[in-house]
Amino acid sequence: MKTKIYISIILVIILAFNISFAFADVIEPGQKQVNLSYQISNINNFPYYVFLLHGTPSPNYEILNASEFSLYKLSTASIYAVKRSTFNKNILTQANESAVDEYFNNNSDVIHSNLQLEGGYGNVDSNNQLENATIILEIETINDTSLEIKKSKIIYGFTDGSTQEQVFTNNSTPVPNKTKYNSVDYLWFLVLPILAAITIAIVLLSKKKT
Amino acid sequence: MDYLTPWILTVIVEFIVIWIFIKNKPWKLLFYSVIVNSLTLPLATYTYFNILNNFLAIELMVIMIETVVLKYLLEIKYSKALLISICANGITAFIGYFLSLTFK
Repeated sequence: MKTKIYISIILVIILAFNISFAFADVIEPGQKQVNLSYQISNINNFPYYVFLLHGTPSPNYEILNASEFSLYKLSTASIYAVKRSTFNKNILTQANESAVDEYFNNNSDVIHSNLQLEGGYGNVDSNNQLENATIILEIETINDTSLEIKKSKIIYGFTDGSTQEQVFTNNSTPVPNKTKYNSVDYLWFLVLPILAAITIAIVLLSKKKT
Repeated sequence: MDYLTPWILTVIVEFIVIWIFIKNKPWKLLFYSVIVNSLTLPLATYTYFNILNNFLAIELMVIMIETVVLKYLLEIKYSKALLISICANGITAFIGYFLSLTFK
């Protein structure tokens, strides 16, 4: 009988640990989404070009300016450039989705960039102070055939309104080094359970003595 | 993040459950509820947010820990401690789930 109870308990525990969270796109309980946006810092230095954003599944196309822009969290997109002298917006406005794809992939006027942009930063614990991130892009070179863009820095925004700026030193995204927890969190997660454990130990010891 | 409200709620609910089973020295039982939940609630919260995002698994761990602690604090049998722990944590889990849906 005891063996059966033990086996049942072990099975329940194993099952509990294996109830996986295969929600894919859905934000899991206890998590929150960090909004990611991009901004091209020196776009106004290239007035002879029109800069376009095209991605999968979106945006179909978007004309970029010095303002921040963002993508749908599951999208990947690229920045393209077209000489202002040859750019005809009507081609894009009147085209259907596949024609727009065709334009970006095969039109000789379209200059492809080296960079692919991701739509989402990802999810973090809901008690994480990180709220949003903005990646600052910088156009390095542009000519008739190539457009070189680099990620220069990332600006993290936190729930308390503060921001933190970090420079990209290589291809990996620098992580925010702001403390994840504040002093109240430390009191709650560390000090309180330690005090409780000490108190329980004292009570048990005093019981043992008596 | 608001820690105080769920802590107070859990302490009170678990105290009532323990008191229903023990019916003796209510202030002492309230004190036990305070120290037991001050140990398990922060650890459970931390584990849920940072280590194991599985509510059921964490509830089971809390039940096991509280069973052992209650057994020695209340000087009762393991079976009774387990029953108290299951009832107390079951009710608080249900209330917590209901409140999370209500105030979503």
